[in-house]
Amino acid sequence: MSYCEEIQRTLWTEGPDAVPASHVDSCDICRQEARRAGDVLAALSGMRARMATPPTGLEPALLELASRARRGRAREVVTHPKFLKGAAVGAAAAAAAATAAFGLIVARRHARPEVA
Amino acid sequence: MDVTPELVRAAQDGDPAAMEELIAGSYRAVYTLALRLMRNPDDAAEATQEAYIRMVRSLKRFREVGAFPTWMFKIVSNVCMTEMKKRSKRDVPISTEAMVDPSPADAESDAVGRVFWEELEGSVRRLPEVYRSVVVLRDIYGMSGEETGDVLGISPGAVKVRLHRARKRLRDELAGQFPEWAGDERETA
Repeated sequence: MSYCEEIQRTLWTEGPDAVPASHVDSCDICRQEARRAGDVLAALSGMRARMATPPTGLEPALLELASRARRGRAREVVTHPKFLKGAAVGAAAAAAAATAAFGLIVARRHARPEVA
Repeated sequence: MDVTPELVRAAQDGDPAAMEELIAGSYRAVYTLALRLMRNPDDAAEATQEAYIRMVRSLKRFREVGAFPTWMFKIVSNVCMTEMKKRSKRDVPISTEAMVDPSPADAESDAVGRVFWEELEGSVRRLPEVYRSVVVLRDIYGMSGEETGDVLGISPGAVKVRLHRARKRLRDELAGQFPEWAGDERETA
């Protein structure tokens, strides 16, 4: 790898500040590449200030979460449909387990031999 | 993020209004990061909620109150990466939602730049996940190479390799869309 290739690789991994300015100033190709890398990095850094618009229900859901968290019940407030689906599956499983347990108790009582 | 160390301390001390303000002042940035990583609004909203549950649970133990934004970004990034690993084989509809500058210098300059920013956002969105995640965490959100590696479960060396390829891909895409990004023209102009 030539010195210029090494410089250009560093430009794209570490940024323009990480290469010797003396070389960049004296080499047209590396200077141009340094400018390109600097432009890309500056543009990407500028993206941080630009934001998406969250769904309207998200902020109230998060505030409700904080309110419940004070009572140690943060998990209960997750309102996203996927969480609700998970909660419904969990509730159904709990109900099935309770029914099975009740059935087992009844069955055992009926199976118990009569004591005179 | 509109969050001060005093606000974080007040929330740690159990002030309910401070906690609400902390969430209101930070959730948009957190959601935006999640959307940039996951590319789908439903998944991003879900990850944001999970991130705030984790934040609320561990806020009292958090010591570097001045670094709340970075901490919050790490939490949501971890949530997103865990989810993305689970869903790697699933097709997820990709959002094309526009990002906006909440405080543009003026309407005219915002309009002029909008095309560029939308193209850039689209170019990042189209990167393969391995490249997109390093660019989002390292270049957009300013995490160090080590922090980025921690979140992604890769070495700092691997972060560098991915960054190198991702940045050059972006540069090539932008040069295709905007001739002034091609480089040579500006040298001779």
